[in-house]
Amino acid sequence: MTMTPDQARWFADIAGRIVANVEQVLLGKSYVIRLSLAAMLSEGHLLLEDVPGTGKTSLARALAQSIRGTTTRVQFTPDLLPGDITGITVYDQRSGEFSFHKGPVFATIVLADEINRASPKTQSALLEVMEEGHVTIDGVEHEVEAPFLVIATQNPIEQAGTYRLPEAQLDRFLMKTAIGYPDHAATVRILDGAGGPRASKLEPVVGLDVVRDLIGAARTVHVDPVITDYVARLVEATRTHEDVRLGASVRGALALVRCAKTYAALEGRHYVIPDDVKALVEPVLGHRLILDPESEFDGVTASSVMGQVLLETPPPSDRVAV
Amino acid sequence: MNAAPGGRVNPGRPSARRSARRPAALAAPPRPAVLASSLAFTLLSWAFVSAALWPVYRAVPFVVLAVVAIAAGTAIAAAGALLRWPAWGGILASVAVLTIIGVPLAVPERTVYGILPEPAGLLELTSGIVLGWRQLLTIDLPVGSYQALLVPALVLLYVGSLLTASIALRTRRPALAGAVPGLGFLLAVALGRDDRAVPLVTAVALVVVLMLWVAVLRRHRRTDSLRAGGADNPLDARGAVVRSFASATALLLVAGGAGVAAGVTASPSTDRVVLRSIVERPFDPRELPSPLAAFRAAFDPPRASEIALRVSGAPEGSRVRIATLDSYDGVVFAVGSAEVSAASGSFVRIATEREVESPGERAAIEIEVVEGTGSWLPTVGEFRGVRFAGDDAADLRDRVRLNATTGTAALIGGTEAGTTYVLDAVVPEEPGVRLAESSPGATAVPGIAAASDELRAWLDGVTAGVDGAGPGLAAALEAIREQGYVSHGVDPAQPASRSGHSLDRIGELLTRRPMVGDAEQYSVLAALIARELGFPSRIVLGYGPIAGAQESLRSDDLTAWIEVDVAGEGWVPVDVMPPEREIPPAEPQEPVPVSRPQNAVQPPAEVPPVADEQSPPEIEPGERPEQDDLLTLLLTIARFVGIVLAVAALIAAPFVGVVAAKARRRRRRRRAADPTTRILGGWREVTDAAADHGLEIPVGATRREVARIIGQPQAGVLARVADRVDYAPEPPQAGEADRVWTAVDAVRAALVAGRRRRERWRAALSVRSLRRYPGRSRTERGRRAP
Repeated sequence: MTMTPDQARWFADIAGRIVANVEQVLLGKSYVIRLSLAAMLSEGHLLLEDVPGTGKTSLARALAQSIRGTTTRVQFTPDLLPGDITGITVYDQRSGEFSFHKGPVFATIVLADEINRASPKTQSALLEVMEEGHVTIDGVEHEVEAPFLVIATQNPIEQAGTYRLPEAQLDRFLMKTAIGYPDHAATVRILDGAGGPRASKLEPVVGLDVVRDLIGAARTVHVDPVITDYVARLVEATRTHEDVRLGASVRGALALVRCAKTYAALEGRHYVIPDDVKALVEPVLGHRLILDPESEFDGVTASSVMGQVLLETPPPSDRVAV
Repeated sequence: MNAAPGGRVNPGRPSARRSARRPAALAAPPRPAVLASSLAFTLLSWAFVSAALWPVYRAVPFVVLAVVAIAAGTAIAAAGALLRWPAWGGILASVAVLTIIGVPLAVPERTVYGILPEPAGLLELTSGIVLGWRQLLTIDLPVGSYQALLVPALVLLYVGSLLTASIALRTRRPALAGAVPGLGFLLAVALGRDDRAVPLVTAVALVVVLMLWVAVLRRHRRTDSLRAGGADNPLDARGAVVRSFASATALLLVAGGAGVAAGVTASPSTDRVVLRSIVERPFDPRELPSPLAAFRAAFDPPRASEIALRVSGAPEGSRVRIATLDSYDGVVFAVGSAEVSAASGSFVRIATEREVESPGERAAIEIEVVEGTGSWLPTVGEFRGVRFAGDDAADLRDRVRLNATTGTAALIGGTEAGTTYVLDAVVPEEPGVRLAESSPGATAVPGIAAASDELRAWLDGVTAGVDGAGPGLAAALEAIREQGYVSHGVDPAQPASRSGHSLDRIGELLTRRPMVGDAEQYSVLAALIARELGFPSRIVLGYGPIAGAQESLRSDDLTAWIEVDVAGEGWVPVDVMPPEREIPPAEPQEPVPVSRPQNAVQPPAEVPPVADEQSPPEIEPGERPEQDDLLTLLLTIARFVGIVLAVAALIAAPFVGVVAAKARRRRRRRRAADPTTRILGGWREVTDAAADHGLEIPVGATRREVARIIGQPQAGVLARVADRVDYAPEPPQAGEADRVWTAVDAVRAALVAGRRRRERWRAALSVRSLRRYPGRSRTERGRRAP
């Protein structure tokens, strides 16, 4: 079944209201808000590489509040244990049975702050639930409720005492982006007290049922074969780029198509166009590349590589020769 | 705008990002550093190529040519890159400069004041561009500035430097420019001598320059890449620069060491294979000694009685032709002429067999060469084809060359004893022409040395009272037969007879009594007499009329006769030998009176007074033939206007063609049957119009990005419609195609509006949109399923 133009307009209308609602808290950050929403509606997770004080927690809370969801925040530290995230089973002396106490992962939006400060074992526990959608404790699976979005953050400046996420685990994040500092106008508005209500005080826009409908609808966006061909060419270009040691994976290509469908629906279209792909290439594929160490030393970044790939890979031409 | 940390451009804004990442090569003229390094590389690399070409020319004009050609080619490429010339503009400029500098540099003899090219010079330049390469490979080196042989060097250096700089400055892969001087160097070496070592030092120097330039390019590219990616400080790449230069230096040391080692160890005396080793030099009979000069050797006693040829199957009375000689320099009668490109000296390869139109008896004549005949292949009659026997038959067949003008065949490499072949020939009957009733034909033959006074005097004597060229020739030949005696000078019983056929020997033949000589002298004498009387003539060396179907021809059967061109008959063989008879004792030496004019300078002929004999004018003096003058004037004007119009049409044809091609394309798009095709064609029309108006459309731009570049609101709408039609599952709405084309016309009008007339013309004549978009073709695997 393919999405209809009416469904696309309905999708864009609701998504636009959510974005506008969250933007009351996060002034001038509509692009990141849309990306976060796209990640959630694509059933993926978001990695933010940001300095402190840019509004990561506010983003998570405002987004959760807008969809009547729950939010938790986990500050990752070296001594954090997997059970601190997933939950633990406790023996109830009164009933004589073990009962499961859910951890902070059981929420609509989980903010995993400074994920790279926890040990790899703890990181893996979070990544399992991100990938599988459930937690296994003492052989018992505990499902997390949809929608489920993990927003993990990394501090790009402080590297001491951190455990860098391995590439295989980075690949589990659907997108990686940054909120960044607000521009001058937004900063002035914030300082003038026009920052809007606190995230916890936002009025919800839709319920979780509607969000689940949106997730289902996003899957039905039409993708023309030439668009998948374009995605394949982009992915192949990352693999043959001279500054890249390891290019984007098949998982990355699938993620790009999935995100492009959601992004098209956010724009009110029931079909994907090359612009959707181009807009998402860097946040979806950038963190999946492993650059050549020498190039990295020279200052080449994933962003510059993706920019070059986009420049040199022509989008699909017209369907017919005219 | 959402600014990311570090001031990066927001990746969600494709237009901003595109403009930030657009490569310098596509969007703007090259940066000064790139320009300088690329031009320096071009100049240096082609200087090394010139050095490799030096052994071919070894002349000062070549140095001048190299300096000017490389500088001109590089300058045009730089101007094209800086001023953003379109491709056709660059090509026009290149051709114009080549036309201007070509003749003074490469054909300096064909100039006025050493600068202005003569028309003949331009012709030689043009033909040299095409044919000069072959001539260069088939001539001994060095060639200096001989004829137009500098043209290949001019083309190589001018076009090579132009291409190198253009690729370096105007393409997305400038490093490919390094291949051009590399190829040029290989070509220069290939054009050179095969007995000289490869110029290793020059090769190493070329590699060194190439590596240094690539290192510099890499540095610039890396900096551009960092800038394109939004890096704050591209100078972070300083480490890369240091490493690049370190790597380059290390490679240089290795390459230089290897080059020096190779130079020391390689033997310069070893011949190598170059183009001239492979290219077959054309058969030039002028390089061979005249067979007539060796005529007397056939009569040396040990050899004279030996069988030279066995001929079977030849019709009775036919002649065996070995060589035809038509040029004479006063010393030797030879084949072809050094001064004149004589048809008799031009030998060509025969593919299968020739068509012979002359009437005659067709015959398969087997000839066995018992005694080698040098490079000449004996033939009979008109040559149709030849078939050799033996294992090397195909090779021998491939080496046969024929001169159709004289019917003479040659075998490159020469015949050997035992060479046997079957001639497919048409043997014509000899025309029974009476020379006394004939007149000279008009066939062009090479000029020969002027007849001596002795010959003129003798000829005057024997033709006294005879009028006409034909009767004169007949009388002279009759006199030779009457006065002449045959002696080869090898039999002690015979009087001495000096060999040779120089003017001196012919003079001796005429003044000594009795007149003694053999076919060598008599044929030359007869040929000279015929020429003197106005008959085109030539000498044929061969064997006289064959008596039977199978005949063994001895060495001393060799003879020579002449052929004269008779009007209405063509070439007619004429035997000139006196009958063999006893030679009377020599008469005492008496000076033969030779009448000479007392004054070497002839008095001027008296000019008859023509004024009185002029017919009276048909019009009175002072009366002007107005009607004729007016007509003449009109005709002149019409001719002038016609020429001007023709030239204007010729010049305008490409431009009219461009406009017509665009109009046809637009009509095809607008009238397409399928609405989808019409809509997508409309978008293409907008894109093409934008390209023609000079807007840069990057390879990776989507329709919406192109619309933002165009800057017209309706272009954005068109892009969205085209995207929907192209990528959405449903077909376009009814009437949408017509609305799209209305919008297309509006966008095209908006693009033109506000522009000056010159800009409009330039856009209308631009060919940018006629070139296919690079990389925009949809691949098969990405084609939409029907």
